[in-house]
Amino acid sequence: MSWTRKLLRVNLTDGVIREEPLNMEWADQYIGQRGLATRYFVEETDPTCDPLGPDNKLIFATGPLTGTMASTGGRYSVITKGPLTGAIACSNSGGFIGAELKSAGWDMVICEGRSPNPVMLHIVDDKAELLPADDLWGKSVWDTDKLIHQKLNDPQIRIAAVGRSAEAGCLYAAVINDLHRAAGRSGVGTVMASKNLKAMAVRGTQGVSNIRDPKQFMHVTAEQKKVLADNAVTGQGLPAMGTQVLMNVINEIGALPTNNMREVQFKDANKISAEAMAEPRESDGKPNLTTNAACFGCTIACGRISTIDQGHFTVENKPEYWGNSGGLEYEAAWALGADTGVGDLDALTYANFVCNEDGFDPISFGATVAAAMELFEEGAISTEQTDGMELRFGSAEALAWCAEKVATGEGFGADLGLGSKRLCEKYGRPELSMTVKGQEFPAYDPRGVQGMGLTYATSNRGACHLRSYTVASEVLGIPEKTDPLSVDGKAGLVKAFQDATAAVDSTGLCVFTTFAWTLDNIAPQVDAACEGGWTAEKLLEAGERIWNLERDYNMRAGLTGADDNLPKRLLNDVAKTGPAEGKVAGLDEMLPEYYQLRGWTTDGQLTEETRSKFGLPA
Amino acid sequence: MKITVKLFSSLMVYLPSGTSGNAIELIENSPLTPTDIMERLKVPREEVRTVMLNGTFLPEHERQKVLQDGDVLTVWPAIQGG
Repeated sequence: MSWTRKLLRVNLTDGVIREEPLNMEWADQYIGQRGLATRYFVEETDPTCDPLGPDNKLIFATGPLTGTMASTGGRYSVITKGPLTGAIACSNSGGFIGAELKSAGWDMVICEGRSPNPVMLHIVDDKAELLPADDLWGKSVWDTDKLIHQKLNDPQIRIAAVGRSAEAGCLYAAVINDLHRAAGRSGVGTVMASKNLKAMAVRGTQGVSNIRDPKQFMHVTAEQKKVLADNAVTGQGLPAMGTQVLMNVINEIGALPTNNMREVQFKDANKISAEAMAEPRESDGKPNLTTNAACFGCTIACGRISTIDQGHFTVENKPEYWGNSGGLEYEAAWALGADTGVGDLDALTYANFVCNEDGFDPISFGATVAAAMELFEEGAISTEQTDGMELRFGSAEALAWCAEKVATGEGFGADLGLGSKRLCEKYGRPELSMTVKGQEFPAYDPRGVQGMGLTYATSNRGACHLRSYTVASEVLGIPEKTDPLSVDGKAGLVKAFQDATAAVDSTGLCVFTTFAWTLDNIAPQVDAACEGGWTAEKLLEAGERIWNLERDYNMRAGLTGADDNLPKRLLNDVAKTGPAEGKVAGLDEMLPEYYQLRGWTTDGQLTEETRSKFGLPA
Repeated sequence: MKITVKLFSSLMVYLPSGTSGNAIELIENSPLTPTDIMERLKVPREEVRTVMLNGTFLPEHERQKVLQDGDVLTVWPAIQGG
């Protein structure tokens, strides 16, 4: 059993902290992390609750392989009801704090209520306490991290915190851990700030000692690390170029959403790509990319560490931004760059630094700026709202200005912090918001990658690529090549990816392993660590159960099948260039088959038969 | 006949020295296939993974087809993202 079998319940209203045994019957059905925490969340939270009210809960959850020697076994998730979407929110992060929490002896931490004053949760192994955090309130994540390290006088303590954007109510604020890893999407940081919980600082010294069959676990994890090392993607491609290598690929196939998804190809894609990050700058002779980096226990190391040219306008006379920090991943580079039409790599890197520094999701932020730029160009907003800033597509100055405004929530930053949907509604042009269930799209245009249209429409946390990454199959041929422009077979493909991903997200492993591993590679590792006879089939069944549980929660929260939709722009306006020219997203052709494969009604509701098949709560 | 060839990521080292950016242009009068071009640039076969012709995926069994004037051939090694 590599679960610690205990959880920490923190009542922020009255300050009472207590230990509880983990529900092992649920662990057998929902694995851990995303799945198991969702089961707790569904049991304990009224689905109609206000996401930013005291009745919402916030769960930090590890998986059974978090903190173990399995490659990438450092993941944790934050589960709550999302303020951006009103749906279940589950954001996954790497770094080191997940493994630290496990090593402190906890499978999860459930935070409930709302503290009357700012506090931080301090955990050292079995001991947990709430400390006053009035001095941290109003500070950025980076300053908070520094102050906590000083205050607790422990260089090895791991910290997750929210920044000023979350305090100001930005609806897509993230929880940032280890300075630049993020539980980034759906506003989980906004919920944390609404509870007056500024940070969680964790020190664990106990290791993960409950492996079911240690000898077998050592054998099988070593064997699977070799599979990752020998695979060209996980052994060479991702460490060398990171996810950013996709920029040119997706542009070539005509699926790179540009200028708020008005176009599907970006003329400056090459300037903001992985190749550009590795190229020495003309100005100072240094490349943007300094090195790659790994999270806890990871043998892939896809992370990017970057610098900005000290003479670049964004950081002139700001030495605090001159050092190395978390660089651009593909999704962030797309949202901050192609979607806003900005082809200035250092400006994108600066905006990304600010997103980390003050804790907000660069995907939702970039896409919201893109919507604001279209509103500006259409005359729906003017310099009157923007303190004189011209919000035009392609303006690096406007992008940097927007990032600084959202960081503090000042001026137009409060409007941008609403997210694209509410912003466009406020200024009378709701059709300009590129969102599903209130959450902004990531970096693949469904007109050019049809499976992603169904992925976005049916994602339980709003538009998201990480719920079913069919790009792997449709563009890059993993596990097998399918035609990105065809809707045939995509309903089954999306369902298969959704179920498998839900399982992987519940183990403590990183979904990027699945470029080399299938559930057949993962199951023996889970089985060697945990009781329960874990096979690939059992993991997949758990994944499908988790997907249905999340869906069931959303239906109870008031969402319906009508929310499984895409913006009219993607359904009616054809792609103008590239291989997808003339195409729209064929959602109508895929959705009925998808509902059928799920065993749902024609309007997307769970049936009693499906609920009973997976033993979902009544 | 003009063919544009783009190599990305780790395959950029196989572009002729002095190439600016990722692309070269080949002016040819004789028939040329994607496989011919990879051999001419000395790109090892095992390093070629994703090949696109004018932005559309080109499966391995179609890489012997003769290219047309104006075609853009794009080649990547094993990559992934997300």
